[in-house]
Amino acid sequence: MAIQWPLLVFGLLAGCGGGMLAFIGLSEIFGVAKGSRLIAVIIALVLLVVGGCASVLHLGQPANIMAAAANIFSFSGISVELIFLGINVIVALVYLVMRKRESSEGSIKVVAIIGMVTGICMAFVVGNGYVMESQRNWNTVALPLSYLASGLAMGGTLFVALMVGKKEDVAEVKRMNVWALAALVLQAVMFLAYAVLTGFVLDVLVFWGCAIVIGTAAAIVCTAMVSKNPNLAYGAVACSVVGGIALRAAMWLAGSGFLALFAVAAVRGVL
Amino acid sequence: MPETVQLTRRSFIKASALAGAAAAIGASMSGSLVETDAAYADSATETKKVHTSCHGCIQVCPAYAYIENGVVTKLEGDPDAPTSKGSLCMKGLNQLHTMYSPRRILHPLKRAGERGTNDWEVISWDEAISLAADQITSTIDKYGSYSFFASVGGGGSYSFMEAMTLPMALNSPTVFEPGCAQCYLPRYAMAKFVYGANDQSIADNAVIEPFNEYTNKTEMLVLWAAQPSVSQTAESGHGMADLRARGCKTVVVDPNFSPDAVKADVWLPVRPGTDTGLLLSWFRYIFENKLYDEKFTKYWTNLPFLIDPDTKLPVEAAELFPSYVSPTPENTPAYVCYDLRTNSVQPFPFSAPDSSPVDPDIFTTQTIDGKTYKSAGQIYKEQAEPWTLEHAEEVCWVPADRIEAAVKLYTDADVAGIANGVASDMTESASQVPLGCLGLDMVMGYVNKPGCTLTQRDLSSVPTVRPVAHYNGFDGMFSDIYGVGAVVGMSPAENEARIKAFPPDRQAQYNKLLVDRLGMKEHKGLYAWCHSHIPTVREAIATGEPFKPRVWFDMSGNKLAMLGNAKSWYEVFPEVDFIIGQYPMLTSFHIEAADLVFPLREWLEEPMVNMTQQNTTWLQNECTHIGETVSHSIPAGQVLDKCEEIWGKLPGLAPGYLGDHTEADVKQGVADSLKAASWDELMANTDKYVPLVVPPKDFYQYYQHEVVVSDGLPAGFGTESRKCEPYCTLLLKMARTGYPFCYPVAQEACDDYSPICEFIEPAESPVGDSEYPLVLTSGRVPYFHHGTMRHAAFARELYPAPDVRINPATAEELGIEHMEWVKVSSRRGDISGRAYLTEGVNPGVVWMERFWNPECFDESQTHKTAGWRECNVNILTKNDAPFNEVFGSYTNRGFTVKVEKGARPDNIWIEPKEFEPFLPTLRSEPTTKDVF
Amino acid sequence: MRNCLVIDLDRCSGCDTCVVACKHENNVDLGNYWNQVVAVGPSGTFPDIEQYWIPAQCQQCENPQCVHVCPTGASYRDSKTGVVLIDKSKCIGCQYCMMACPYGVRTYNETSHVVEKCTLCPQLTANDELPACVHNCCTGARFYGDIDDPTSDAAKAIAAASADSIHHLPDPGDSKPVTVYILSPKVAAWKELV
Ligand SMILES: Nc1nc2c(c(=O)[nH]1)N[C@H]1C(S)=C(S)[C@@H](COP(=O)(O)OP(=O)(O)OC[C@H]3O[C@@H](n4cnc5c(=O)[nH]c(N)nc54)[C@H](O)[C@@H]3O)O[C@H]1N2
Ligand SMILES: Nc1nc2c(c(=O)[nH]1)N[C@H]1C(S)=C(S)[C@@H](COP(=O)(O)OP(=O)(O)OC[C@H]3O[C@@H](n4cnc5c(=O)[nH]c(N)nc54)[C@H](O)[C@@H]3O)O[C@H]1N2
Ligand code: SF4
Ligand code: SF4
Ligand code: SF4
Ligand code: SF4
Ligand code: SF4
Ligand SMILES: [Mo]
Repeated sequence: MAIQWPLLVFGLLAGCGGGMLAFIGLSEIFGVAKGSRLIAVIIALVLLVVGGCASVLHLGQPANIMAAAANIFSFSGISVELIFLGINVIVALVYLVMRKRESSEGSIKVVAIIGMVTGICMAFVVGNGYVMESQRNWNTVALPLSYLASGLAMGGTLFVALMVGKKEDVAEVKRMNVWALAALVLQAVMFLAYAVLTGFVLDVLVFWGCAIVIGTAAAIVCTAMVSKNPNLAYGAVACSVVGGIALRAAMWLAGSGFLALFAVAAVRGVL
Repeated sequence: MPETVQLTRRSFIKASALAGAAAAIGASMSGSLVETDAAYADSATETKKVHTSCHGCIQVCPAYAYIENGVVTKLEGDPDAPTSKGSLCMKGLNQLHTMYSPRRILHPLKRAGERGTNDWEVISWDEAISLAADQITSTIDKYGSYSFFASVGGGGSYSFMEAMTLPMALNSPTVFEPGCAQCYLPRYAMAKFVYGANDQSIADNAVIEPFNEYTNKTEMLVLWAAQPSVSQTAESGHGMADLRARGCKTVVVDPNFSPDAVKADVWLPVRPGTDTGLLLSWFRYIFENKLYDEKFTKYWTNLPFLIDPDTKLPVEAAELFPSYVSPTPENTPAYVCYDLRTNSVQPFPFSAPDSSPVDPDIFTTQTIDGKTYKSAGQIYKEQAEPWTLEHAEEVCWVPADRIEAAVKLYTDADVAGIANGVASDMTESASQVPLGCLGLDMVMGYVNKPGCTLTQRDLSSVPTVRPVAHYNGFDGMFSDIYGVGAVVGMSPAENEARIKAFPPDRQAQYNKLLVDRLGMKEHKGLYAWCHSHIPTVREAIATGEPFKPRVWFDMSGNKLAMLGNAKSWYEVFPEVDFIIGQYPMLTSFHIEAADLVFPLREWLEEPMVNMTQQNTTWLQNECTHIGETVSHSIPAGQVLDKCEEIWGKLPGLAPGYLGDHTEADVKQGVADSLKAASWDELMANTDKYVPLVVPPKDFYQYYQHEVVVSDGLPAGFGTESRKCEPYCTLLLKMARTGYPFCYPVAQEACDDYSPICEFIEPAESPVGDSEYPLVLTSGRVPYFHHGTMRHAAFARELYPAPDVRINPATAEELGIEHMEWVKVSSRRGDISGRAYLTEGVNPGVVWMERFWNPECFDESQTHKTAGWRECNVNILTKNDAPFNEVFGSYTNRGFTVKVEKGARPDNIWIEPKEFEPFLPTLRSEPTTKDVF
Repeated sequence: MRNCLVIDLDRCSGCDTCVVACKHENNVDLGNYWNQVVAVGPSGTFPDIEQYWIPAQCQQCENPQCVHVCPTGASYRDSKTGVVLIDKSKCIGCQYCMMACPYGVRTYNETSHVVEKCTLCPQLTANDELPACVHNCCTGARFYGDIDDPTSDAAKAIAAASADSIHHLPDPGDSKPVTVYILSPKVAAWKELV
């Protein structure tokens, strides 16, 4: 199947936004990265909103999003995505407003933890809509788990990079960086699981080259060396985003209907 | 009366598009529940549903057209048609696009630029007719009448009779078409020579018995080089499906795994062009295993006749028995056989089998007075002798066990038959293959029986007198008009008397046209259709020898896509002073050659009665009419009228041109054929006249040869011996004198033609050709009829470029993948196509159908061409000697090529959306009245 | 009621007429199809080969995946007729149904921005006429009707075929495609296309 770029961008940005929210929640739990949380939630919001807008471009007409919204409780893949997009945006906004208004740290923390959960869900559901029995290379839970891991990895590395940019305390950076590393390791496991479960049909260059070598291995190396050279945090972001794009691209490229009869006929193919 | 349909289709579609829910209701409820957009529905008046027939190919299947405000909006097959039963194939359906194509030409066009450019000036009909007549008259005045020549299309084209007779009216002998010797003439003529009647061609509506559902007896059918499911998709394609469903067994002889081969019980993938070898192996197997119908072969074929080794002709009884008095009339000679009752050579008079005085030996060699005579059967047997199944396997590339299985299916049936396709017509063995196919059915006795292919229909096929066969033109009509040509089956005295009754000067004029016709000395079989030998015409244009054709009136289609070795024709266009074309669209030929083009009606506009379907005849209706287009016969009729005005009198034969000059005449002719008093009456009460039905009991006739006729003898056949002549004596006489065509004048002799099937190895053989190692052949595809429909967007999006069918093993050696562009080259040129990898062809064979690309001169192209060089298999085909001896057929199939990786020509469209410029744009054209 | 097409592959010659008939009848755009014909084979090695064609269009699934993923209810199965349809006024063109259909027999209309597919031609069948592809099929291979109604053409075609000739497209989950393909082993072995 051809890469559906609006959907790819949506999944990428919404996943990354969700990952960001998860890391904001983590920082609240640990009580670190105080100087980065505000900018982080703003970025998360932008990612979610821009991602949402990108997805609209996939529809027949952008205005059709209203019809999708009107049928929000059909609980189809798309409506679940919309639901979580809405929830995440609301949670992020609430968090943003509360932080701005300097509400009580306790209540902010509660909201942040809620955001952590919704963010994780967000990163998962953007992949889950593709799990369908007609798509043999998508029909595995390893796919949404890969999306989830990718969202966390991007969100985590981005969060760490923000901290580095904000010149946060080295120990705090180190503490969060361990979790970003964990997300990348999870990503490595999930990506490989996805490759194995689909029988190694994924595009070699896109998946193994970009998603695994650059997007995972190189990202892990950068992340692991952030304590030595903090600027490598930016490299880790770049790598994990490449990985995120590559995973999703590989998914689209491997997408082929169970029996894509019209597609076969269109190229005068033979079964 | 046209039927009225309750709900207009467009309003419904509009409605269902507006509200998907309404469509859902419609699925289960009646149409009345559907709400239509009121304003839209009002704008459409009632829809008329009228009877018509498709003319998308030769078959002319009955159909219905739906017409809204004069615009044809829908076509569908007529369920009452006996064989097509409601089917209408895509070539027919796509007429909705062709009819309203932006490529239609609606007015006469005069060239405004150089030949090769697509620049035209729209002119009036008056100006166009005058221009054509001026060019014709002035050229003939200057160079003589042989400077004029005509051409037409092959199967399915409209103007056969017109093209044959237009030059006659101008006293020119020259006319040709890309089919003829390359299509049907060989099969048609050989059947007439051998059997005196209709042939074994399924595509040309001769073979219809297998689809007869009244008696329905065909147990087994051999499709020899025919694929009815493709070449008659909606008609015999449907018929074949029904036939197989009834349990009929089939054998398909075809190098390609055609749809009919797919369904066959046995498929014989013969090496292209080697069918004669396979046929001889069938003969050998049948003779060797005594599988033939002994009684039929003895008494109803000429195989037991002793043949004179000097003349190669059967010995007449009087030659060996001078005192013998034949009990039969003069028109029925007695021959000689070896009699098994007396164990001696005896006269063999014609009689019913049971009253024969002899029991003839089919296979015998006798020495009489030191001269060795063989029976015709013996000669055949010796010809077939080397063709063991193993030898056939080696030469023809078909496994021996398959050949054996096929012959057994064929011989084990109570009744079977061979249906013979077009492939052999395009090879050097064009006469030998039908000779073999006819011969096989004859030795098997599959003749005139319910269920076999060699049957004749209608009460008119039941003889009351000794059957005869007329030659020169269809059913010998020109012989009857001009008094030239012997009637086979009449005695010499009867023929002499008959011919004397005609005016001698007309006779002489006609006879001179025959003898002067180009290529006739060598290939006298062409006389059967009054056509010239194409390569000789080309040669005459190029060299001026023996005369130079200079003004060309072409009546159909794209010569550059259809003529063998098209480039050799392109090269002689500059030698032709003025070229007139007529067609509903411009083709490569018009772009490259024509100086003047007359716009023709599409089939939805042209009234006609054509092919029948079983015992029914149907109407091709004038469903609508736009622009200033005319029926096919009219431009020539009008031009001749103008020439006559200029000259005072036409120089040619009278009546000469046989074609209507006005639409009123066209319509009256149609009404007459359907037995209506007038066109208006036919239109007012169409259902009363259409279809015209012959009652089945009158239509289906059998055993005509056994019927006792006026001379007290069984009728026999319309041949000289009154028997089937698988040993074709007429071919020998023809080669020597032009008999029966030129009679009473004798034409100069050429080498004898072979009277029986003989093996011919194709001149360009893959055996030992290292430069061009593969053999190319072709066959129809269901998307197009000849050169038509290449601008039908719905056909092209499915089949945008020609498939080059090639075996995966060969492709792998060449490093070629499925659908990859390849270059195919022969000794004459190279073209492009897309490789279609399939196990359905032998590794040594490639298969590719004709193509041309009208998009190449679309306005949007930066680099415009006439679209005939890019993908046209006729760049590769071979139009030089050796030709088929009898008919001069050249080689469109079974010649050698090589295949390499290639590239898509940059002005060829492939993607569906690219064909947008071909979508119909003329639906808003007003309907118009007859021009003439 | 389960309306659908029944297609006799013993008859079908792969002529693509049904494709074109459908396009004219339903004004389907260039490049879009509501049905297509796919060649299966030749399989085997020359000359020992066999082949058939699958004329493909919506299989009118009883448990349609296309409907399950549709976010707006535009895709639905009419419980009364068994026909799966698209309410174009509700379709937002998200194309999830195209991804979810196991057979790839839906098409996206770039002009009207909605997904389309075989409708079984209600505009004709409502007037007791046959769907265009059925009417014009060049071998009489296509039958339309309710397979639960023994008097329908579709049910009769199935009844006339032997049990070993009745096939459905493979069903990866539980779509329950209703459309029946008839192919007898003597013409070709049915290939389980998985
Ligand atoms: N769709 C379509 N239908 C047509 C036409 C068309 O152009 N398109 N043209 C019409 C006309 S004018 C004609 S003459 C008829 C012809 O109708 P058919 O006689 O059915 O002709 P083809 O399909 O050209 O050829 C028949 C088969 O011969 C096979 N063949 C090729 N070479 C050889 C060979 O050397 N030996 C043997 N045994 N077989 C060989 C081809 O693979 C093909 O399957 O079709 C008519 N109908
Ligand atoms: N290489 C190769 N060459 C071949 C063949 C082959 O198999 N291989 N086949 C040969 C055979 S069998 C034949 S018969 C010839 C065919 O060659 P042609 O008949 O010359 O083919 P076309 O040029 O396409 O044009 C003829 C078509 O135009 C349409 N037509 C003709 N006159 C009219 C008219 O008055 N009005 C309208 N509306 N339409 C008209 C008809 O559909 C007709 O069939 O080609 C021959 N050439
Ligand atoms: S077989 Fe020929 S006449 Fe019949 S529908 Fe097809 S194109 Fe028309
Ligand atoms: S075949 Fe595809 S489109 Fe048709 S009902 Fe089944 S899932 Fe839906
Ligand atoms: S494209 Fe239309 S029919 Fe398909 S899932 Fe989306 S809304 Fe439903
Ligand atoms: S039933 Fe109608 S919509 Fe469906 S494929 Fe046939 S013609 Fe097209
Ligand atoms: S029209 Fe009939 S024979 Fe032709 S491809 Fe379609 S189903 Fe098969
Ligand atoms: Mo032909």
